[in-house]
Amino acid sequence: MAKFRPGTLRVLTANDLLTGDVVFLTDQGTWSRILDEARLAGTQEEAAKLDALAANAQVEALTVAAYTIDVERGAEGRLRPLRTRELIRISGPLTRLPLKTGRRKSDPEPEHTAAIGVLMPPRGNGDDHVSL
Amino acid sequence: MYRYDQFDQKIVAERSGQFRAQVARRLSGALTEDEFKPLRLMNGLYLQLHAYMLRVAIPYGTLSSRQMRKLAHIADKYDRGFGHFTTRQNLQFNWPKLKDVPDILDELAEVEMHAIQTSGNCIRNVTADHYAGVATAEIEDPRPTAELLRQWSTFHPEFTYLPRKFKIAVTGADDDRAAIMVHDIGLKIIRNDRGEVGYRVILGGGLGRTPFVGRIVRDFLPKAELLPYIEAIMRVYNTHGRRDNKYKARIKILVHETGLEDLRAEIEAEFARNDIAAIAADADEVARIEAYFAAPSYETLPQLSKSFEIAKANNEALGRWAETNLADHKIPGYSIVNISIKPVGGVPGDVTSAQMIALADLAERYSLSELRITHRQNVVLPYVRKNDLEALWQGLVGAGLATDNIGLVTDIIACPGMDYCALATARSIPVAQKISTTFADPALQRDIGPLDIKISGCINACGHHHVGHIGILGLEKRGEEYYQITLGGDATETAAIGEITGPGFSEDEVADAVSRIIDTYLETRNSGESFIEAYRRMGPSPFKEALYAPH
Amino acid sequence: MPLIKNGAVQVHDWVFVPKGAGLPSDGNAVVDFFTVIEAGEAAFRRDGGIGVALPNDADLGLIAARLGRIDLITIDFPGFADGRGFSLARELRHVYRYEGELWASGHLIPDQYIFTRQCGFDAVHVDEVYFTRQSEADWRQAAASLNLRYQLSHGDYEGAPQSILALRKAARSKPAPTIPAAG
Repeated sequence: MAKFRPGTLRVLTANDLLTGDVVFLTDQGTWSRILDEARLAGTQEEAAKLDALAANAQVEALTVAAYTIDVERGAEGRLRPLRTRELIRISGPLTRLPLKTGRRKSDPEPEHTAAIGVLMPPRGNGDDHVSL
Repeated sequence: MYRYDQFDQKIVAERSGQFRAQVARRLSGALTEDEFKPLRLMNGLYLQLHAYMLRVAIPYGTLSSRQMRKLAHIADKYDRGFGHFTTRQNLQFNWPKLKDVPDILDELAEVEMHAIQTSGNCIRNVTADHYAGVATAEIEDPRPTAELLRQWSTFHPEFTYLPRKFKIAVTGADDDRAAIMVHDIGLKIIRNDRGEVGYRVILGGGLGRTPFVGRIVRDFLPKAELLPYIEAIMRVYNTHGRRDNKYKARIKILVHETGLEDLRAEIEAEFARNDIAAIAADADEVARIEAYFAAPSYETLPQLSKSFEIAKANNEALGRWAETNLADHKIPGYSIVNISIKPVGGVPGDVTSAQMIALADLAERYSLSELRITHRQNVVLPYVRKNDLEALWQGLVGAGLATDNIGLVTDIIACPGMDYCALATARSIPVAQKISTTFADPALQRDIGPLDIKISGCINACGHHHVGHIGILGLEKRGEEYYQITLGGDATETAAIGEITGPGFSEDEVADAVSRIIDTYLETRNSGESFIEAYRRMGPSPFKEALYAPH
Repeated sequence: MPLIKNGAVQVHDWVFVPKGAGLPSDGNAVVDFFTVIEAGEAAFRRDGGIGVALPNDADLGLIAARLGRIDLITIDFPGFADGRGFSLARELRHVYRYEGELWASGHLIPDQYIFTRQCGFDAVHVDEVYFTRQSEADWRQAAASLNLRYQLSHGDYEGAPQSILALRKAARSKPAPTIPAAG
């Protein structure tokens, strides 16, 4: 895992197993398609816990290729990844898609928070929730 | 073209059912992702940056109008209405959902298609010359060989868990359009002194982080001995190929580390102890496959079409298109038509479902319902009567597919790069778009002449940058994308690996750097000399000077 | 470690002797490759069957002379993605004409069952940890998932995939009404 730099924030991301959509682990232990809903690790210790979760069997049961990325708070308080790769991964190809493309009707709206399974009890529920 | 018999049909249908069961086991937890991954890869399913990606096999690049329409249907029903032609003649969908993939495979099977072995450490979809069967100087059509290899390699019990992927390409012509020198195995159909037809076998070519031009391992292999000989190569590779380091696992490294002579001796010894007669394809089976590739019944036509000559003379755009996009056909009165999927400023190889349908319709009307996909990410209609060229061109104009740039500076090969690919270290598409826009002027493109620009977004080299006359490799340093330039690469029969010019360029600088290289060529070329010829005459110095000398 | 054959778990009485433990005086015993080479003739002067556990890069020449007296060979699959065992099995069957029992042993997944059989294995001896996840039913289903093949097979069994090439050949050689079939 990448060394944690104080002042940055870390989140756990993966692709949803069934749809392939990019998702983030939330404070509620659910997965959201919205980066701003991600559970944030702001200390070395919290970051290490998230890193460890990437290899967790329950994470693997619902997602593919989980790993952590570092983000920062940008304009208007919204989170954005530090690396271009992660920015593209979240926002889609930076190149213009061919005509007649874009989101299909059947796709979930981007604002939709998909709970694809509760992984962890909500934050602050007694013992911290890394023991899954 | 080849048609499935009941057995080909059944095995593809069974494969789709097998994958459906594998998905169910992944969901139930019976299969871990580690175990499931090679299984999904061997059905063409990758995980990319944003989503899964499904790579559909187009064996040796040949497909029918019916198949193309099915691809359009899949693009609309399961994806976002477009697909991407790859440098190995396949088509990729960028947003399929895992839960839909078994249904997509069923739909593909309905039109005799599949995604089998388009990824994974197995023998990949076999590629071939996109002018197969219609090229002017061809010993034999390479497609029956490619089809024989397709069947033999499909679910090969011994060679499905190889050290690394394995790619085979076949050509039957002297002009190598299939890049056989940079494949794990390249097969060239040749005739020996006694007039017998067989193969020259090239081994150990490849790109990636350690590029090699392949070397001749067998100068003449009798046609009937193809499968036993390839089996011998595969067995030596499966047994001795490195498994300790993914980056040293391709057969090119085995050739390099063992030495060609020693490896050849090992392959020949293995070949000799093979049960050659049992493994070799039955002559009747070969004849059965060959019959599907028999020449169509051509009309007797004059070499020149008067109506087309008049149309060209009266229409500058048509004339320009004819000059770059047509190739000589072996039959008088016919043309091979290249359709560029490289619109100026567009994404190389991307086609919308509407364009797929247009391509299918035009092929049906003017090319006996057959299309070819090229490793240069373009499309070929192989059987067009010259009398029909003008009407075809009108249809292409209507579909936005009449770009007249085949083989020119804007006919750029580019991998999807970091806009899509999980492995990429930099973006390829915007670089291609910028260069293409810079050189949009048709007169300028023609003045520059034949020039291959090839762009990869990482060291794995899917964009074939090592064998571009100008190669561009996107890398990352401290969070910034930068681009390394190579010069003098060549993917044809005179294959060569390009040389790195020096330090890389930022995304903002790279199009300008390419301009300086091209300006240097324009200033220093002899009359009639192409870019690659000029580079070979002068070497890299004048180009390096132009790139790095203080201005 | 369960033994899977024809889609079902089979019982067996083979004992796997740990490295360096010495040969038991009787009973069916599987010993490692180097022990059997070192033991020489002694390995065969016992009361009971002898089995040899081969690594997947074993040089078969070292035991070629004794293959006829070996009752069981197991070939190790250290990971299911390492396919060397398939080539080694084929070499045993085709080049060395080994006719005894042959097991693929270690980390294999059900989807490889058909391939193991075509390469000449009789059964799969799978690590317990993998069998816990993939049950007998999974193996049975995977074993029946493909019923056709394009290649030669080095082992035949009930329910094995049929050779497409042989089926085509048979279809071709059906006697035509007027021309008698050739010999």
